[in-house]
Amino acid sequence: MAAAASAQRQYDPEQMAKNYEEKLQKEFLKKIPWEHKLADALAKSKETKLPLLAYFTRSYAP
Amino acid sequence: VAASKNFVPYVNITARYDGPPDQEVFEKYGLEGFPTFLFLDSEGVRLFDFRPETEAVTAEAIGDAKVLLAKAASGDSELGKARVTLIEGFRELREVSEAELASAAAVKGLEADFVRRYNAFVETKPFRDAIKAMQKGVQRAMDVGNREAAEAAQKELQSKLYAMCKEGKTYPEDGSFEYVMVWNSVFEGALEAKDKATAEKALAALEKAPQAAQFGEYLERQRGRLNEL
Repeated sequence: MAAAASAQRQYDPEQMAKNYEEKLQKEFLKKIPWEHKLADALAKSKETKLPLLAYFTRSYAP
Repeated sequence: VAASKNFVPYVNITARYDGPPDQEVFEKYGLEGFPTFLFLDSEGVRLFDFRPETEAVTAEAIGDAKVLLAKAASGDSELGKARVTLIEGFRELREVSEAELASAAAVKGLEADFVRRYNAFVETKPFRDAIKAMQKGVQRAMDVGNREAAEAAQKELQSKLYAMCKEGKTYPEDGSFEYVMVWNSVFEGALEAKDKATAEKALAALEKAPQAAQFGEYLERQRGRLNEL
């Protein structure tokens, strides 16, 4: 029973990868030059002296 | 788009599989729920986070971040300090006493929008305090696996907020999560008390919420429950 419940919480990696790729194609991601790695964003923040605005979203569910 | 000129925009997508970058960052900053925005300085130190419930909420947060980030540049002017104090209080960035907030709100020359926000903050404080008490009660109960006690804490909130509504207190429409929580609790409290008029008022408030479109089916079910009363 516990094993079945645990299995239900597993995510299918192929489906998750597909969802992620679809998310990357969303219009809002094309409108502005988003950084995708925090380290790069922080480096750019230091260089430009601008603060960082991080947007957290998900692709595994709507 | 406009904000991206004043900030370095960074997107983090939680994807539930190995591959995409920075999958640990959401938890590292202790964030809850999607979508969420977070302001950071160049060292990665958090300023504050917020849920973009409406465009107005987002615009207000961006304005607040600009004020906080300009704190050093604005010097020690009384007006600059008052704005920062108010934002720190509104966003609970530190413990700000009621007297300190009142004093900041009374500074000459303070923008009308800050005064409006201060008045709304004071007006909604009893509701927020009741919600926080419930959340603590639920957390305590869940920590020891006591589901009944958690449900009792939620019922207590519903009863308390219903009573506050009957006393004439009201939570203004501000696009916040608290607005939805308050009116949903009042609705449940009113159903429990078989008070159709108050339940109708609460449901009307929920239907006016900017988030209402996302909860269409839920609101329909609540409407059905009200009709059965």
